[in-house]
Amino acid sequence: MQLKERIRQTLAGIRWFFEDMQQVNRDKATGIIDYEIQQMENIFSLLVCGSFIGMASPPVHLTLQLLPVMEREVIQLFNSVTTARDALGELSEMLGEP
Amino acid sequence: MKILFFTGKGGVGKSTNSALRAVHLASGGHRVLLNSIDPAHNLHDIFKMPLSEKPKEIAPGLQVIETDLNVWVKKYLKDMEQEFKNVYRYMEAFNLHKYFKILKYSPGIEEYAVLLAMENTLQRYQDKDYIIFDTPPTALTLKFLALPKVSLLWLKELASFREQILKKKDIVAKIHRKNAEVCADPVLERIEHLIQRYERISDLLTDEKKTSVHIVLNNDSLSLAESEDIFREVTNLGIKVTTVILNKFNGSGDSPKDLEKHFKGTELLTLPAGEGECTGLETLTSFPLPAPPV
Repeated sequence: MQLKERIRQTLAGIRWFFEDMQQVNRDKATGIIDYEIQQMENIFSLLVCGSFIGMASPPVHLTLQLLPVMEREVIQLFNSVTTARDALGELSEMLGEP
Repeated sequence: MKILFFTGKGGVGKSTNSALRAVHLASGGHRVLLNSIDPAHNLHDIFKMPLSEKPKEIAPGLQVIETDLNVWVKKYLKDMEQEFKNVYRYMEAFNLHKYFKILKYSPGIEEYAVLLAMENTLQRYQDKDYIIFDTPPTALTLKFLALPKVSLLWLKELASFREQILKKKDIVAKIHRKNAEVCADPVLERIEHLIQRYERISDLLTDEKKTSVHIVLNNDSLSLAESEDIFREVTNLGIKVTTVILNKFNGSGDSPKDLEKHFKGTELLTLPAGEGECTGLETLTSFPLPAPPV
């Protein structure tokens, strides 16, 4: 009985190990796409809110109509300001260890 | 329902011409609404009676409104402020919401207010046979007529960009084997809603059977130059200029025939300079107006 239980636990451990490995591989595979998505969202927010910082932008009424549904994007844009001066660091963090 | 815009350089007589057309259409048995969207209203002087946002029955079948654009700017900003407050409620802790007041001075708000006023009029008075707009000065008129198309250009680009982002998010979700599809994107939903709205307005403005622009000019070089600009810009927007009205013509200057070559595809109407002022319902009704192609 004890042997059976130990074999079951060992198999479960092996399964978790491979599942974790798979997740790590998935995260590595999507890391670059996630980063690209984040940058695209930042560009999108800049396009919409460009008039506030003197960039070419849509008519103000469009900006005002879109901003209420862009809370997450605006917060993300503000957060990216803190890393804007260290783009290389951010990139290497995303790419992981050499 | 047909929509008529009377436009032209300041002082050429576009309010008088819009009033004349409205009075004559109403006397022909049509249901007519005449709406002044010019911030400097003239219709109350032409009809010699106080007018407001509330429609006033001037003659059988003829209602007249003078739209207060400030009311529309305030209404629009109040609605936006409320929506912002609902989402960014935490800003109230810093009293940042007070800064929204400055938005009324943002460029583009005035033409958006004109568009809102026009949209409201068209929705509210669908029972009319004719809705006639006495328009604001040329620059504002051209901007508000262009606004639906300009907005659509931006919105379609933003929608395409947003779709690219969502496509990539979908790829990531699939790699992570998330069962649920990427949730509906509120930003794309809002953009698509706005596209539908501006396409509806743009389609209406460019429908030759429903919408027409009537340019009023006098026989002088400045008025002609501005009218040519209006004709070019409006035509480029895909809106039909039906008639060009040579107002207060006294026989001097270019002949109406000479003017025709400047406005190809339109009908040129000539209104002679009358004696005295063309004001009051009685004078307007008795004024001989050439048959318009509306």
